Amino acid sequence: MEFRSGSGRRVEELGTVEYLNQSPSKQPTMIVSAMKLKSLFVLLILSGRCFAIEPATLDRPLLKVLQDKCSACHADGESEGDFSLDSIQGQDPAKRNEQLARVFHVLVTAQMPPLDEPPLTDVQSSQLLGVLQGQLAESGLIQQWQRKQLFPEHGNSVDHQALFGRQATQVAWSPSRLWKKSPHLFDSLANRGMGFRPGRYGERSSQLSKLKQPFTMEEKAGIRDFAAIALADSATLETMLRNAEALVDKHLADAMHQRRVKLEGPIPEDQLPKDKNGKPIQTRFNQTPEAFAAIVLADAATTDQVNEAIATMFRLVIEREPDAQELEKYRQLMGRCAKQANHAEALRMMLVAIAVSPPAVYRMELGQGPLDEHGRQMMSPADLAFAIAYALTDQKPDEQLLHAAASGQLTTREDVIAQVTRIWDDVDIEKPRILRFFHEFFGYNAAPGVFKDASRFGKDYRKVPESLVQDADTLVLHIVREDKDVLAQLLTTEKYFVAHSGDNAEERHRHDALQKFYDYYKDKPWRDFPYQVPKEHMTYVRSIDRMFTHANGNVTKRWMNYLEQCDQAGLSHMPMQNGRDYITAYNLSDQSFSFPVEQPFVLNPEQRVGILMHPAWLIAHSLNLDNDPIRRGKWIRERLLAGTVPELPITVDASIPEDHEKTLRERLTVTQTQECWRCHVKMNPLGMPFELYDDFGRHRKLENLMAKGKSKPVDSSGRLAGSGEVTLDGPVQDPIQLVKLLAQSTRVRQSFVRHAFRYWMGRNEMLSDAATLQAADRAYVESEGSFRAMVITLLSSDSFLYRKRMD
Amino acid sequence: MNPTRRQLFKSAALGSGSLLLQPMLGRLQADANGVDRTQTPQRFVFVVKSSGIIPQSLVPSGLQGKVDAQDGLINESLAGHALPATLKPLESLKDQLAIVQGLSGKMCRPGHSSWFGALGVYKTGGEHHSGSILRATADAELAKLFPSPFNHVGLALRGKVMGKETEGTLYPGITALGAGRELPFQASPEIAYQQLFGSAVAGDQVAQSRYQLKSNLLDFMVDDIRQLNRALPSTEREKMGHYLNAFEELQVRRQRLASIEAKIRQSVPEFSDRFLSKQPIIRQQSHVDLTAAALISGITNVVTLRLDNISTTYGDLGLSERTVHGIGHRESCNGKTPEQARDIIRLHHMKLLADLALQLKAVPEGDGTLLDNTSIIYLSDSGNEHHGNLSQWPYLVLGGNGGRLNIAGRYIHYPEYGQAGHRTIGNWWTTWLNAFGHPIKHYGNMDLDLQKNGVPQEGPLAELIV
Repeated sequence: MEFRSGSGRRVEELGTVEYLNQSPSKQPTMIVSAMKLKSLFVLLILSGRCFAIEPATLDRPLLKVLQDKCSACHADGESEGDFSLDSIQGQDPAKRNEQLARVFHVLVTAQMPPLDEPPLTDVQSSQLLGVLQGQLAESGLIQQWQRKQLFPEHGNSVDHQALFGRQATQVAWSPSRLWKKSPHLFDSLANRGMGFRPGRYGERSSQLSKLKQPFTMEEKAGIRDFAAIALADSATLETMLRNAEALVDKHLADAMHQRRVKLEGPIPEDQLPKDKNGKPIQTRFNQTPEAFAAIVLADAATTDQVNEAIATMFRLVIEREPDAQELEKYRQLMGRCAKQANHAEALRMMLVAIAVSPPAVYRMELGQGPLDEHGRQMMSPADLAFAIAYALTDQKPDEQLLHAAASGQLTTREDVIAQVTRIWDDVDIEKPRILRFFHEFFGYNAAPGVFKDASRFGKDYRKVPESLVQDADTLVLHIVREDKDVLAQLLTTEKYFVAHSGDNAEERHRHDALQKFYDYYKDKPWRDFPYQVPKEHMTYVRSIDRMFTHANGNVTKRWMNYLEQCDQAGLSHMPMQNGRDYITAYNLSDQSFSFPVEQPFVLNPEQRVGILMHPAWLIAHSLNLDNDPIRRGKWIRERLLAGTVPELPITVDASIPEDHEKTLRERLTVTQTQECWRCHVKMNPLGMPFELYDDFGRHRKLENLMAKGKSKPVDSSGRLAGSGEVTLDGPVQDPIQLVKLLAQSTRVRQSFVRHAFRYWMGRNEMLSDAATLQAADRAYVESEGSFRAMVITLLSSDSFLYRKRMD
Repeated sequence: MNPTRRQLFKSAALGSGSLLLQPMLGRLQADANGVDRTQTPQRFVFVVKSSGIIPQSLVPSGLQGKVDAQDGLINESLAGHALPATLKPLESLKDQLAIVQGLSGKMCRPGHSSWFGALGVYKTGGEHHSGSILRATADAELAKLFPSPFNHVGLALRGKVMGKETEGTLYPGITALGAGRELPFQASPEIAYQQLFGSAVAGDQVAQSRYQLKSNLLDFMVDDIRQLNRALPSTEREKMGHYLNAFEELQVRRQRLASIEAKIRQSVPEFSDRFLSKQPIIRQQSHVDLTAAALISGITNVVTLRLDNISTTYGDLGLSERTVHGIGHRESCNGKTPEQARDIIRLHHMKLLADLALQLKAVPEGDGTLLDNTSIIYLSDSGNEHHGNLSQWPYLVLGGNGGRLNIAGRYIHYPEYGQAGHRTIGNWWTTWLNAFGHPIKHYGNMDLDLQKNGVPQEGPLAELIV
């Protein structure tokens, strides 16, 4: 389905099928062809019961529309984009419907008519779509098409120019919806202990070790947490049920134990767990929450007690108070259970029910209050509070947000802006969702998941990708904090972080501490230290810094060997006692690298700039044994150029031929055959420049061939096409030139906005979101590239605030 | 939403080609039809021990010479050869025993455990964590081919390879139902008893009452979601329908269990205090008995049994001074050398395997016995050693394998790593999947070193398939 484009014309000078939006205009030949008109008419009414529309429905003006708008390029021998209305005639109904579905697709995503042709009027467009929808209704193709558009892979199918190229006229909204909670929300809930003491470093409470992630997501690259496609099914429920029982049993254990002892006397010894020597262990339990214990121990319950138990459970797993209706129904459930078992067991089952109830699984974003003139409702203040909190954090709404919602201060766009701004600017509020956006957008965090034949790295590879991802994270967060020209900076910055926390004061402190450590030991016999370092030394080094608390003999030797080496070579030391070899990926060596305490620093702009040349990104977009120029090109085409690449046809064997005497570029010439190149032209010329690095991200001049000992010079040339600006398109010598061109492109910037929209709205953009997207883009431009301004605009847009039922 | 939602789903799929509904429908279809009894289902028991299986310990002395002078594939009948001393409990079952050696698994994580890699053929996890889950492991893939009320049962003595937990639901990190979805294992025999057989027999009183109460919970949730659905837009109703359906599936499972109540009652051992015991070897025996009963009653066709982990102490076998970890690290124990200690544990494991096999062999099925249609596969998640380097991955297979593999009664030894004709555990699990109806081209990740050296790795071990 590739007759997208501004003009729909091929640029033959590429020798390929590349489409540009700004083509030299070829005036449409507006020749009325009675025959073409007839053929379209015939095909629309032909296929019997499939076509419910009477011929009369296609009235004259509408027929004229089709004739005027389509036939010049798509009939009478013309078949732009490999599509011709003529070709539909005479096909079997199934094929014909497929072709009609293509017409539907390009109309509904505003890819046609092309921008340099006069557009359809709203009336024409909706009439034509109505007819097509009628024709295709029973074939299921429309429903299939609609379903596909919900998936992240199809985000770019809405034409870019239709979103940004014209004045937005429609109002924006999101569908009233349920949104399955994310894996991160579950983790965060578990990390906060759910009534138990949370882990010391923010990890899951040890009491909750039996809880398992119920909200798993497909491990695929890209922005994926979409409300429409995330479903809770049997797998979710089975895990939810197990979790619920484990959680409830942990909470009830103490009270249940007391109850059993009260009724049956002490537990028989053979039923107690034993230690290694066979001695029985008396298990200690966490205290049962009072609201639960009261019922378990009394084996009876008043209405108030049950209400309090329900509310306590709601606070633990749903993180809000139950409403009157909820109290009522869970009281009923408890009553029903209490008829069959004792109150303790009835309570247990009722608590389990709350933990698996729909609000424990889904965020409810249904809208509330009267419909406005566009059929929309604003989200309720309570739902908005959660939506805002979940947009930036993995926590429930904080006190201020809840207060705002409860006191009528979360009812206008300005209210929302105030809250989002407050949270964004409060450095004490953790906002993991921001970095996660960049993970999902750039995908560099996937580097540790790419299995490598580590021997080729030449150094211990075990923690290398993790360290590189950490460096990339530090860089991204730094640029986001600076908040100037964020995207261009991300793409083209010459400055990197290497083995640095991003906090210069902290690094200075650590650096000085290590220097003191070295100065103290350098004249002492540290080489002969036993595992237990003599106490007088330990007392001193511990006074330097906490980092030396566990500096035993081995640790001391590791540090001192390295610090001594730095001292002798006149190098500033890195703050790593081991694993320093990972910097090989930047073409650095710990034998010669002098660690800049102040970072970011200019690394080597001749060799690499920006995130796409960061080894973490390069590894994440590589294969086990080689680079992956095709995927890199696809990434740029889709994420930066808002373009589409068709899925790999199932008939194609996509393996790269092995040839021990050829470079990867040479081996990939197999993709240049006519049938392959149609798609590969969209990827290869964008991905090939990154051949300047090996698949560990190391800059290179020679590419080692599979034939041992042989190599060839690297060719890093490529071509930018489809940037939307003729001044930018053209051949490039290397990836540095490529990304610098990309960073200047309006389309690239807008593509970035589109992806941020998807991430924060949890769905693909629709044509009706044009106003939101344009406003976000404008906010970004007017604030000189502030990511903050862009996101605040998104989070206070109609797309975020309003809901519309899609019945 | 109404009680005929099942039909609704069917018609929805036919009409709109609803992509999201397809997997669900497949499962519903299987549920609706019940297990296909026209074809005898194949049963599988995966018995996963910790601390490796030393390849040498499985070689019958009569074949030692051939192994020492190996040149190509060894595929010999066990008939004329006495089994090694620690395998003696299997002597009477020798015609249904296969010893398979020489396959490598270097695409997996070496060390104390290769976690999901052992049955999933890829590298994952670290010393203490089981890592990410790429795909359904081979045991789970086989379970999908032979659906049953409890599609896949996991029983474990302990949790993660070094974990200390011994009660309730545990996640040892060895079996996955799909990407990101781990199979939960039950450690407590009394809970497993109630979960598996509670529909038909009374075990522990508390557990029994819970089984009954859960019906209330399911009914309540089904009503509750239906009510909620009335307030939802139609698009979201379908989404919530999936969650509703999940509750309904549990109700259906209960009904199906009720329908085979008599059979379950016949097959299940009487509940007794031994199911409450905390002693490792009594619990192992309980797990074996529960496994046999589960297979015989037809409530499941696949069980994965996590037999022990390296924190286990076999005090009742006279090895109270060291855990399996200590013995694995070559510490002597109660006056025994580590080799002797390993032999004692292996002998105990073989007794358990023999006991399980004999329980299945006692059940007639078709012209033979249930054991004929069973494969009990004994392996370690750390391959060939306590810290397996995975250049070899030994397997014992007990049972007739439904006649689909020609391995019963054979000693099979593939050429070693680096030799011509060498094969991997990827080929091994591909063989199983192909033999039992999943014609996958290759299961698992490739060994990159072999790949770099141009060693072909894809496909099943065709010589083992009938």
